[in-house]
Amino acid sequence: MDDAELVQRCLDGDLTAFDELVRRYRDRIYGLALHLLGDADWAEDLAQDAFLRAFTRLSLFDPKRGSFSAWLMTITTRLCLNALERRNAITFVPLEQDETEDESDLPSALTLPDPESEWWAKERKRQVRQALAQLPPYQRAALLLRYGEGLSVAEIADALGVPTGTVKAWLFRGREALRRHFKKVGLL
Amino acid sequence: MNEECRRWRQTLHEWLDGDADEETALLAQAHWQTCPDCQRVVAEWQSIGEWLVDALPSKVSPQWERRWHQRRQTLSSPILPWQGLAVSWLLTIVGCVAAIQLVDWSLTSFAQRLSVWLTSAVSFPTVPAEWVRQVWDWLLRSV
Repeated sequence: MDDAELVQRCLDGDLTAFDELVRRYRDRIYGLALHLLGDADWAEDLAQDAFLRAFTRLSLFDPKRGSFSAWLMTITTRLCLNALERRNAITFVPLEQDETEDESDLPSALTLPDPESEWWAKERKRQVRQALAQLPPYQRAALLLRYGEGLSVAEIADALGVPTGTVKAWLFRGREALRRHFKKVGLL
Repeated sequence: MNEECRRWRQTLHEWLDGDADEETALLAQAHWQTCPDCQRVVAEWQSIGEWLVDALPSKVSPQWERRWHQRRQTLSSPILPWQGLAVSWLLTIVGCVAAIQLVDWSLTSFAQRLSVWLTSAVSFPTVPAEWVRQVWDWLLRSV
């Protein structure tokens, strides 16, 4: 069953349909919030806030204007950026978690990589997160929505409420900053 | 870097943004495949994109379910379009009634104050009671 059908079922009073939507998107929404905010507990709270807000405003979702996931990302991004502005937390402590907890990082028994490449993969992830953490929030949000969620420039502009030219400038500056960081630490 | 490299590198970020049109993208890619310098630069950017995609996925904590179910209890059903409309109409009506009442109170209060002010400011001549009695007697006699 696709997202639009689940939304319609939810509007018809079937709340289990919304639970299914939460199950589908909770990791992505949480991941987006985590990389924007840099704090696991705060990110989980805001991810749940985003779902609650989406639920109460479900009737405003228009499938003709875009996908449910893009709409949900928009809500989450705006909540996180507003929260950051309220806390005036423009910079934050780089993420160090997930390194041991993230099961997707663990190699399966059949495809065990050699220890050196595994170490490099982890180190690279850590460097990417650190470099992201140093970016201004809007540049970070633009990169997360483009690369993490695969949104188009127009969709990102819609989500952040800015012209497409601004999004392109943020993406350009963000990528340049990442490249400089990777060159500095010897990854490139 | 020759003129051609410079030209196609300008489209690189458009291409990375997924914003380059199909024809431009094909021409740019054709150049990048034949130019080792450009190939290296494009590979760098592609690596950065891949590393980002690779580093971002995260999983919610084991406490998510419990916390979500606690917070979900507060929800009953989403606000439907007609409910939103009804609430906005109700608020408009309440607002109008309150505004009318406020204007009414203000005008009444203003009129009362004006009346008191006029009474005290202008001293109307009072008719002495003796005059009234004499006029009354004259009328009785005349009749």
